[in-house]
Amino acid sequence: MSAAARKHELPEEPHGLDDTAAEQLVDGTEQATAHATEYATRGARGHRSARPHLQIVSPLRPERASRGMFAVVVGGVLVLGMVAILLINTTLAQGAFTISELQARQAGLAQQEQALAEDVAAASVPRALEKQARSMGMVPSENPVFLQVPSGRILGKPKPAGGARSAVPTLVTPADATVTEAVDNGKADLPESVPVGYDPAAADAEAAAKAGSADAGTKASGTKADGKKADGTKASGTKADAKKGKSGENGLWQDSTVIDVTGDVASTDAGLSAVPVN
Amino acid sequence: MTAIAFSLFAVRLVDLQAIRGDALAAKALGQRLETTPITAQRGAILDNSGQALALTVEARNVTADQTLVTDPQAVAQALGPVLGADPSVLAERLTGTRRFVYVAKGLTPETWERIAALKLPGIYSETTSRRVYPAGDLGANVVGFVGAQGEGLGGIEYALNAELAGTNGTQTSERGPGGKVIPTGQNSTTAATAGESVQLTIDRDIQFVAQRALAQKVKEAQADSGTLVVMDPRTGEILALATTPTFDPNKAGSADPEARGNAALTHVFEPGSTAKLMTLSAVVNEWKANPYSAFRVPGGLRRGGQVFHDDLAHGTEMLPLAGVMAKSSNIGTILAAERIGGRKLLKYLKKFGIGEPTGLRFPGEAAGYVPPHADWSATSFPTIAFGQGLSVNAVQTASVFSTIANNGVRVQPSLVSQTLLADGTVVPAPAPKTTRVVSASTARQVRAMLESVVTDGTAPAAAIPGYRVGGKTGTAQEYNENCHCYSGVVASFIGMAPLDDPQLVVAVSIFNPKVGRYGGVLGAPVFKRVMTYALQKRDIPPTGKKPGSLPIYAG
Repeated sequence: MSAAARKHELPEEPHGLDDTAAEQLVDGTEQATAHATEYATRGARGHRSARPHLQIVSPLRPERASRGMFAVVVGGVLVLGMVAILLINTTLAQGAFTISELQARQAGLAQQEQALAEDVAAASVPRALEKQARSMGMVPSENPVFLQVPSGRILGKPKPAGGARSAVPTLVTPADATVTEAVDNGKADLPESVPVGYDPAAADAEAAAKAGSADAGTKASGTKADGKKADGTKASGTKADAKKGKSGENGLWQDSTVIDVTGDVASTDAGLSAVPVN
Repeated sequence: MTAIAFSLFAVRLVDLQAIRGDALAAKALGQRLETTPITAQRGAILDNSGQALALTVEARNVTADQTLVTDPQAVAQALGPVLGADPSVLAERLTGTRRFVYVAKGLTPETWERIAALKLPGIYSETTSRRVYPAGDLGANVVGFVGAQGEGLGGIEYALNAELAGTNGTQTSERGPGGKVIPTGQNSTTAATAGESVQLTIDRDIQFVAQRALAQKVKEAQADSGTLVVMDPRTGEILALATTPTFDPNKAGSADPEARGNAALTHVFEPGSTAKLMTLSAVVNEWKANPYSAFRVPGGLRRGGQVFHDDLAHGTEMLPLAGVMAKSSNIGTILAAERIGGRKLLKYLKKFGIGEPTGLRFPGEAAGYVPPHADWSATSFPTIAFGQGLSVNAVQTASVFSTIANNGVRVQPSLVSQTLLADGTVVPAPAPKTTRVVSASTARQVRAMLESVVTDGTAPAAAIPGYRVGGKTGTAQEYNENCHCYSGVVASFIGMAPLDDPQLVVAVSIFNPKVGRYGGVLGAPVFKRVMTYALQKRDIPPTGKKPGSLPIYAG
């Protein structure tokens, strides 16, 4: 509010009051005050000279109103500020609470994870695994049989393990297979490992169907011996093994010729599944 | 008067502010600053597939402020079942005027949760860490154990303690009188560097089978102890290192100190017949004999005023070198060794690594001993030739056979394959030292002789169907430090498979058995079980070759 504007509210001021009014102006530079006084005087002379003497109006009224407003505004700002601070503090505190709550949860979850990881570690040690496997009726196979992937040879003599279920051939890629061999044998077309849920029996049946009648001539005599064993009881099979003795062990390798994979695996499976399970 | 007083004040002011100001401020800051250590997480010890054999987990110590425990009996009654401790003992610990006492240490966080839920006054906890060995005694004698402060005290835990422990950090902050951190104050943290994880060459599955097979045989034979080493001869990596007796590193404190060491490295013994491998390799390598060279072996042989005999009495017989090996003839070995002489023999023993540390730098490792030539007595040469009068540890004997398996090149044994830094960097162990000891041709000939030990000789029990196996039995007399005499025996079998391309060496030693005494009877069956499994585990298919047929009798 400038001094000049304020002067408009004091048109009826008598001349003699000019100084007082000017003095009582709250704001304004000296120059502005002087200018306003002159204007007021002129106005009084020009338009209201005919009027009767007017009563003095307190020049303080507008000042008082202005101060009240000011107090209200300042008070308002103060209150607003305090509310804002309160709000900010509350929010911060809330944030701190949330952080500590989340931290507690994180710590709890980390502990849970650690406990679970420990459980897993304890359950996956060989001793625990073996116990679990045995409780599921598994036995260690003392007699691993390997199926050589590029050549289709079966290495080792399939034989039921420890009086329970059959030994399943283990797929290996022999380390000694040269790159050329692998390429020649079209190794790239062969699956690298058995997919999950692979059913060897079904696959064999399918392959056998494709190959037509299985080529009996390529079957290794070792496999035939297994078939025989399967016909008899397990005990007689073991006896036959024992009788064969050293020459039998040697004979095993002489007999192992390159054979048709599908045919052999099929017959091996058939032989093994016929062995009674203890 | 007033002026004097004010002058005094002024002097004091200048003194405090200007002269001693900095020092006093620093002292005040020092009172507010508090430095707490940040413990670095200890690295794990892993097997060769990355499975943890030792790891550090979070744990809690339960503490109490005795002055705040108003009713020790009630608190003890509440804590007893959770801690599994006697409430009367607990009550005693909770009674008194001490502001800080430990009630229990190393609890799992879950157990602490249960205690915290009881909301007992004056019962607090502090976060700490606990070393756990999930596999228990599996590989314990290699992995080692830690002390109460988490410092390595045995095995790899001790040998690589600095690497595993990492570097502790510090947290410095200004604190008010109540111990609360002043948020605007000085605050600095030196982060801890977590320890390195160590990956071993040990395969825990093979280790498991080895430990069990060995423990079973030691029990059957009522022996004092036993050791078993499984090694990859091409890399020198030790895949399993079993000792019986063993211990549970989770409860190392209550274990027998004898059982906590690693006898395969710390216990030296006279190798006996298994050392004949070195003697005969040396003879073949010096072109003084081949597996077919015939020796006229009498029933007794006088050397240095003493008559030496073979284990089984026999008349004079003609044996080829392969037969000397297969029948483990002491006399035949002496006769063969005489073709090269003592100094040459000694040179070969050194090249095979006898009398020298294995390079594993395992705590408490004993290097063994071969007497220098100058100290030899008249009987030293013949006895050393067949493996008495010198001492070795089990890993050294495995290394000797690995040399022959690896075509004559000795690869320094190793137990650590790599270390994993906290930031994920993998640092492979330095490449092992390799030494050519004998020629590839010698190694091949000696392997053929080792096969005849299994096919026709002293260890038919070591044969594995489908694989060619070679090995050597040993039944040595054990020197007893207490009586300075020979008492008891060491029955051993060390072999390799598949013989046409050896990829595994297994060395079994059984000390002081009461039931049975021959390496072929005690050692060979353990060898067979462990080797059969190791071949499976390592996916080593049978090579499908017939065993060789060296004559073991000379016509």
